[in-house]
Amino acid sequence: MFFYRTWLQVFRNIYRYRDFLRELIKIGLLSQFKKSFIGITWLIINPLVNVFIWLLLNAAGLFNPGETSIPYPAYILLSTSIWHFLLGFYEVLAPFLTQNGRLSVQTQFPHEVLIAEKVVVHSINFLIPFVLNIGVLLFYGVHFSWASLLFLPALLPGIMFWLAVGLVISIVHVVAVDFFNAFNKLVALLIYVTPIVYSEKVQSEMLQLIIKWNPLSHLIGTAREVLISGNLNFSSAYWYSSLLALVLLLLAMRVYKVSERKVIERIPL
Amino acid sequence: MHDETVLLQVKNLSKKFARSLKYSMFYGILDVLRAIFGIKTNNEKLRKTEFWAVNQVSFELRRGQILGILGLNGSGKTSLTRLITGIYPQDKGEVKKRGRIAPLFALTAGMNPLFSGRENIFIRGTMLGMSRAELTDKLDKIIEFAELQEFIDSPLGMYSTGMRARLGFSVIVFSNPTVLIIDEGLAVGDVKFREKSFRKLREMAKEIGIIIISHSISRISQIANSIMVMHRGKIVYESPRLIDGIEYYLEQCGISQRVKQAETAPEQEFKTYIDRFQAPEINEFANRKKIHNNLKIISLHIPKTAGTSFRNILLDVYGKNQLARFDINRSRNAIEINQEKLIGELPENLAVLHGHFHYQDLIKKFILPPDLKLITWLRHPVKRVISNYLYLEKTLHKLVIPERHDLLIKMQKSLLEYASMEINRNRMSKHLRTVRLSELYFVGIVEHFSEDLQELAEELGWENYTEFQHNSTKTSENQFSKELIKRIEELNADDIQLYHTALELRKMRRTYRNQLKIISLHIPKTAGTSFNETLKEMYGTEKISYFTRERVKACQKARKNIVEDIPPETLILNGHLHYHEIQDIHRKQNLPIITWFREPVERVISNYSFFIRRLNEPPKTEAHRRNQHRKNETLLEYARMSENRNVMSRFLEGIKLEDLYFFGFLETFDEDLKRLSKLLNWTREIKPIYMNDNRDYKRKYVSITPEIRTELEKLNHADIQLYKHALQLKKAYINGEKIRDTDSRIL
Repeated sequence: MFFYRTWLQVFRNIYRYRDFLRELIKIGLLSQFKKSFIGITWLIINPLVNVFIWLLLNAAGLFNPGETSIPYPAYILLSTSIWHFLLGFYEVLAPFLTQNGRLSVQTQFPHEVLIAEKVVVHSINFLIPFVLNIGVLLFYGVHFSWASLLFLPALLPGIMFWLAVGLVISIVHVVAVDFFNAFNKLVALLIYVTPIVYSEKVQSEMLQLIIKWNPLSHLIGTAREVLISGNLNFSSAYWYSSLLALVLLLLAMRVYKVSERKVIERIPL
Repeated sequence: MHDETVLLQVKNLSKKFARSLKYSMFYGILDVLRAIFGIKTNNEKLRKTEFWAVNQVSFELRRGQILGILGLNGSGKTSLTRLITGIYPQDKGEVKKRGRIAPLFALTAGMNPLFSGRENIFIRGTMLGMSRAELTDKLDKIIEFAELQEFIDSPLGMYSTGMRARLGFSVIVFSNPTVLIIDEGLAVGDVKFREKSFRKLREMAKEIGIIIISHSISRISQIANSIMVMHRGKIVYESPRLIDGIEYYLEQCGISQRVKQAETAPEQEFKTYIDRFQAPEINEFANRKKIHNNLKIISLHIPKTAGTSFRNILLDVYGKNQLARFDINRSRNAIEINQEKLIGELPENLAVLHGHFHYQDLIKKFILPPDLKLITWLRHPVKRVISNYLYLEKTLHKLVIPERHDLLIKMQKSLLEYASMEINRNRMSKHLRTVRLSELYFVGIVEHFSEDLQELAEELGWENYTEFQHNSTKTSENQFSKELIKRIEELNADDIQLYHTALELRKMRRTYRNQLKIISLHIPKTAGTSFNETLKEMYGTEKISYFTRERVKACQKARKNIVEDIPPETLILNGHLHYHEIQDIHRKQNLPIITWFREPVERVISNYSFFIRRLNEPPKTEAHRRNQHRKNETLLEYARMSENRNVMSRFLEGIKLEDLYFFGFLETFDEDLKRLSKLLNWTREIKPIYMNDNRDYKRKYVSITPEIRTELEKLNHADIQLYKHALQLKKAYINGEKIRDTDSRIL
């Protein structure tokens, strides 16, 4: 039953410091604008640059992405946004303990608040350009139904997966930097073994095999399908992957909670 | 924590760290893996390159306490505070706390430079656990205290360091902490704000507990009211007397430590040691001079506090040869004897020194012997300031040629201008930094000059002296407006407080001086109750103030000295008092102490029987109720508890048998009481009164075998030694082998 207690404590802490969380979210969102003139426009430009690169590679005939249900540029835009959205949870969490090291030894407050802030700010940062992306998709002739809205809950297991990885790696980041660096390289490679810039129907037996056993392909692919086609026939692979993500997150939070203070004292300042 | 006044209780707290970063990370991985898989780690053992950064630290912090923790850099102070706040997990021990602990490690931690001061109040405040609503309520007060009304809507990034610190401090002050932990936090900000924050902290300390850690003696001594010295992770000294702690720090951790390091460590290593663990202030204490035995009195002359008059009286009593003017010149950092720089040691002929100096400079220049008598005079701060001002004005008139009247006007300042200058504010407090008034031998009040002088003269045994009143300026407050007086009071808030403390002290001193005659330490089950009845018979019930443990505890809880709880008409202080609880009174007034002994094993048995018998009666006290579950305790179980072992020795800890005025034995009560009556010149015939009839208890409740007796003897080894020693000493006194200087001045 320790999982239950850990989570109860996590949510209780966040609730107790909800006003602080609110302040942190405000800082997280507003400091982006305060610092740079174009501020939020970066959030929109980044995915477009991504799209451009893959279109260029495709036009040059360097690889064949396989058949896609919607026009290829729209497909990349959508897939990469989802990919970066999910991966982003890992990217913001992994270094957060080290980044807040000084603060952590100067004051005492539950660090779950920082985690919650990262999650909320990152989600908001995703949603703003995503609304624009939807416009682009409509332009390419993609049709949405009401069922498409279920796309967001369908993404939840993917979010849980990366949150879990992020939490564990935040601990690793402090005590085993070498491991962290190696792991980061590995994560960067994942985009190539998940159907993001190509479709599931890519013509490569090896890739097909990897895709089949890669839980991420199911987690992302299913959500993407829901959005594009409103198709709610979830495969059993999706459910298994979701279960895996859930168990990982439960474990990860436990790992994080027992290790947190043990590594904070070791953050070199 | 049963005791309401204890805010923080730290028990055997320990923390280890690895010296090498690589090992630290490696152990980190190990510990994390172990924790994840639920494998117990042996925290007791040190692994390679590990050391105890905090080692078995225990202490309590009470309401009203400002605890200064002194220690060189690297002595474990910061780690200790982080353990207390829960930032670091401890390896051993426990921390119990009451209420909200606010760490003041970095005043501006978590604040964001891009946001306005107002927004940052909310950021910092909510981080400390306050709610938005609470902060909105207190917003105006916080801004006002930080003195940032004009800038509050500018981004924090544009603030100066001092302004940021002010804001950070202000938020913490209003966060209602029960314990405030300050880690060098007040080094920032200008002088004015520092003074203000110290004043605020002192005011807050009435309700909360404060811990301030530093390697700086002056910072600690400015504010703390008790002191702890930390060295290599351990508490090496703890005392309510600041000067003791400072002395210890200097001796054990400061100078000698560095010298030791220098001698043993290779040149290079020593250099890095110095660089890393710098506490430059300690160097100021490096060349302290010894004070020779002839010197009895040092009189600290704060300007315009009747010092000149007092000097003339000293001159009258001690003569020119034994008295010297003694100043410590701050700007030249030199000791001056009769206005000439002192080179070498103090002249041997001197018995009394009198002059202008700050106490903190005195302890930097000299090692003060414990029996040195320090005397100073205080005066109402407003009167002192005005007198000082008028004096300067008069001197100025003398210096300037009368014709050049314009020059005089140019140089003159108004009283308010003069009083507002930082250098002229709180001058009495500045002279007496590092020392508490109660630690001085005598603090006279100028407004009661004659009375206090007479008291001092009696105390010092001055036979004849001429009272000399020197007054160079006629001071009158009436010539100044009420507003101005009020303003000067505000400017000298610290001095006002100091003056009031001195008045309180004086009141206490005068109430109990010449009143209390005898102290009787009543060790439980040693015929003390019977003795108390005899005392009542001889002196009258109203003359005796009896302290039960409950009464002593109530005093400690209220943080007041036992003395303050004694009614003025009391002649005899009796009760279950430990020597250290009445040590101050005993030392100051040299009062005779009386106590009774009993064969230790018999005493334990009697105490046990009494304890059990009381439990079987309807409960009367809180302690009684709490102990109800112990009704079936056996004698050995009872005797093995540490609080029940060597009780007599513990009651007398801190005093030698030879220093007791009288001790008797229960076994020879009648005979010993007669001896005492001779000593005290009791004229009336005494009839011993027997209370409690101790002798019968053990028959009723306890039968003891030789094995049990042996075990009891073992448990009370120290008491048995004490008892034997006391018997020998009694014999020696009676046979006249040893003569004690029985005090004839009693009663």
